[in-house]
Amino acid sequence: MRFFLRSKEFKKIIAIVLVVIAVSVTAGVIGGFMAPQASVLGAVAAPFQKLGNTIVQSFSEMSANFNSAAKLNAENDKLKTEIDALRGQLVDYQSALTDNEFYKEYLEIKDINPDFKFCPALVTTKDPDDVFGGLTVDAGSLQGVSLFDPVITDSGLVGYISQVGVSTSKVTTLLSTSLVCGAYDSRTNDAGALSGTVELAAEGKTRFYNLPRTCSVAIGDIVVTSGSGIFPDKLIIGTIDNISHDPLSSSLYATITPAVNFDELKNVMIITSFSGQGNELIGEK
Amino acid sequence: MNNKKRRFVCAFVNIILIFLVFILRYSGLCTFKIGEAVPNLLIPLALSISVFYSNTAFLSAGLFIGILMDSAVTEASFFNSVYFVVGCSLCSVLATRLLNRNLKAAMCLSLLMSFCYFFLRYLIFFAFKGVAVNYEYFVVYLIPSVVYTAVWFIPFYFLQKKLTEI
Repeated sequence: MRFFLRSKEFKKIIAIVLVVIAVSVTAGVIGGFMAPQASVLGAVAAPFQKLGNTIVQSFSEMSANFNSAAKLNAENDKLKTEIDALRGQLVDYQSALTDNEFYKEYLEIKDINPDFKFCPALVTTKDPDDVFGGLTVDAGSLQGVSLFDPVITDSGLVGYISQVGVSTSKVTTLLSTSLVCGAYDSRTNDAGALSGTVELAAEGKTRFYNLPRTCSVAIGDIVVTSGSGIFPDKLIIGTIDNISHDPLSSSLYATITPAVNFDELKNVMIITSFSGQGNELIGEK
Repeated sequence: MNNKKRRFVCAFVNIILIFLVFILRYSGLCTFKIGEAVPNLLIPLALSISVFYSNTAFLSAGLFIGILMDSAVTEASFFNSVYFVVGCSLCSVLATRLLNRNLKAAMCLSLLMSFCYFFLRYLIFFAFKGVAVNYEYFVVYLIPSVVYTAVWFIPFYFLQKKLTEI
């Protein structure tokens, strides 16, 4: 053991460990940027991660096609060849239709908010260790993405860009305790703040708090962003499914089910620019 | 099989294994989740490499796995690199200098490495940040995940043992 500790090999190991720690901690302390080694390896690993996602999608599509083909074969033996050809066309058609629907929804958002600049991105990895459902997308500084850019789908708000790499970025979802933003009830205009908790995140929900006792929010109301901080206004967050008294203050808080289903996220849009864009979160909890 | 060829085969199989486990885990294809317990298969894999191979191999594997994980996780992008380099180095030294390479001793290391990983993550990303966590986080997620991750060391142990015996 003593011999090992005095060996050149051990000194080399210590040197490498110190360099990795120094580079990584520097990146961590500066904040907002991925450590250079993670950024580079992230760019290298991105195609493999996409491949993994493609395999998952192919498996589910294959099993769906297999089931429908088995039924059709039993019912329509004579028309098998014709059906196969039609199915091929149908797959293309459905794929085009899905793409159309996807872009149409964003086009509507774009029509309402002409100042928005979008960057489409694909979810490459979902962090299974992150209780707040954090994810990585395949767009980075090369595509014009920058820190705190809002991330949305056609259903509503997903979160914001918390780390930017060269060709990948990390997204902190609205379930996270790190995200604090202004929000209001779209029916009553009652305003409050939005931030997650660990307990609610486990249920896929978030918290709308600091609501005055006199407010008239109700279950089923839609909550949208207020436009303060890093998000533009009127982005749909979700619907209220419970209202309670805050035990620590005289205010009320509501539990919100997000409009976005985080388990089924595949394609997202990053808003890289909008008028009145802030560059920092409202504040720390 | 000569020594050089055997080293190449071991390195090749381990790189493929690391990539495979990484993609399985982070693409959501198969996380082996039971209830809220999510095993991190890269910990037992890194440990099995540390226990059976030379200093350069465990250091490279720890560094590679750590950086690969940092590129995918949403938390601070240095935790995994640092943890895996330091953890693999310590485990390798413990396994080769103080303990035997038998399954019992290696399982203890696996349990220790898994526990340190999940507990440090809790300290850094929740406790030090002042994020409130109730007991359910420990009972339902942290402890089951530690045990479940440690158990995954067994197949990797025998796999690496077979590889070194080629």
